[in-house]
Amino acid sequence: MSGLGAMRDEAEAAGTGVALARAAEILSLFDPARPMRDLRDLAEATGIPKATLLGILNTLVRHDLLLRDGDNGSYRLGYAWLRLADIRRTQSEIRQSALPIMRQIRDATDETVILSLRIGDRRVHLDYVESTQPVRRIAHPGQEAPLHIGAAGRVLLAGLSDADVAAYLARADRIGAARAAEIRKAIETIRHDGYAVVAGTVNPDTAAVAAPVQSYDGATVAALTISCPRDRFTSQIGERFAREIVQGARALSRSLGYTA
Amino acid sequence: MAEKLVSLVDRAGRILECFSRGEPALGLPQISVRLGLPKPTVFRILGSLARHGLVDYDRATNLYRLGFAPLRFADALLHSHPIRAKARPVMQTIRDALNETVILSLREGDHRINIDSADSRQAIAQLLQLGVRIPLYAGAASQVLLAGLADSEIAAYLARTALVPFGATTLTTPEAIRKRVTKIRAEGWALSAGEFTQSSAAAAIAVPVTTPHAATVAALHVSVPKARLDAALQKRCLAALTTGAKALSAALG
Repeated sequence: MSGLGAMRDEAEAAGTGVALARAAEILSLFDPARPMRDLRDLAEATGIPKATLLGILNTLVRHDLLLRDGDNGSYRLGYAWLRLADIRRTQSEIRQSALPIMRQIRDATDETVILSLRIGDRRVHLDYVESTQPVRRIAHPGQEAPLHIGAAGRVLLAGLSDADVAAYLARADRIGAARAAEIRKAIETIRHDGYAVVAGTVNPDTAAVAAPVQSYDGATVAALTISCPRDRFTSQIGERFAREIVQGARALSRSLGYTA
Repeated sequence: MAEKLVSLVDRAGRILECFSRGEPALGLPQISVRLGLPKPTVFRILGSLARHGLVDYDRATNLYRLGFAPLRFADALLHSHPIRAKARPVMQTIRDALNETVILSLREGDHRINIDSADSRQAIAQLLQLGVRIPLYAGAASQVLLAGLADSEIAAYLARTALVPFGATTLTTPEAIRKRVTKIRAEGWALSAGEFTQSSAAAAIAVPVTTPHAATVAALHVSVPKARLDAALQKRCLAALTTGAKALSAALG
């Protein structure tokens, strides 16, 4: 490739990155706390010139990624996200097999049950079945955390080989030698017990018990978690939840072809 | 530069639209052919989409699929939605009473959109699509929303809309739709099967959710496999929906 061609390629790559970063930045401004925003507000928050911003907004509206409220000219998230999220969710085989099992666990415990996956160095919540109690753990699909934090992440981390765990601990932010040793010890316990118990580390008010979901080849592919308010969590309840979650995770593993 | 930016965002939007229930995972060549864009261009956009969590690349299969960001945006949309929040417990009550899938839908311009569902726990439940734009003339829930419009609005809607037959029972003449609207207004509910899909295996029973000023703001409907829908179940569905719609109207008022 000629030098000029390479330069043009680089410029185009940079342009693509900038364009999508702008669009993503605009979209990320809409959250449950601020579901509606108008043009001026968006221009201030992003620093994008109004003409360019309006062009991007119109494009996002055309694809149903944003909606414009006819009455006051403000924008909110569009319904295409429901369609896309629906496709993403339905696609996941694990989720389909998991839902009835998660409901069973929820019915037995009346606490929120969460299904999570590992994506790179993070655990991501994929789905949940909520407790019916007035005070309950609320989980959000797509919510992420580093692997070493929380019961689900720890279970996913414990599913990695020792070499992968060591590499993770070496590259993860702000993990000193003492903390790394503590995490390694926790992983040993999880591998021995077959489940993880965590109270008050992700959030001081919640406790969770998680177990690994394994596929036909024995690889840990997901984690099932029972999560509840910490003041409902006693050691007796912890033991009961551990039995429930291990049993549920085994049933799910079997439906994915795991036989051991 | 601004034009370039907008066209890149547009292409990203078109890439996202390539994914569907039937094709949840796609390769670079497929997307490139479908959009008529060169592979390097599509590859760069996919890379950016992946960085923002909008798509995932699976190295094992060499395929792209939708990422987790759509789940987050959908969740943000639903959690800030004024009607959905109040409808959720009502929908669950109806679902628990019937053990059938209950759906909340709204009108957005000339379309109905199913925004949330409380799913039946029965093995054979209806697969339904959330967030898809469905025309206001097709299906019981759509027609309940249409019947809530003023006659002049309905006339204008019918004048600008091409009536396409999606299934064997789709209403395709303005007269048939007006007649249906009159019936819905008189009876307060609607029943349909196979108007929006090829299959008539699914039946829907829908009722409007109204404000204290009697404006229709949403529809609640139950989706039932037609094989299960006998007169007794229909009566129970209608009773549960009517009670639920009343409760939701009161909560919104």
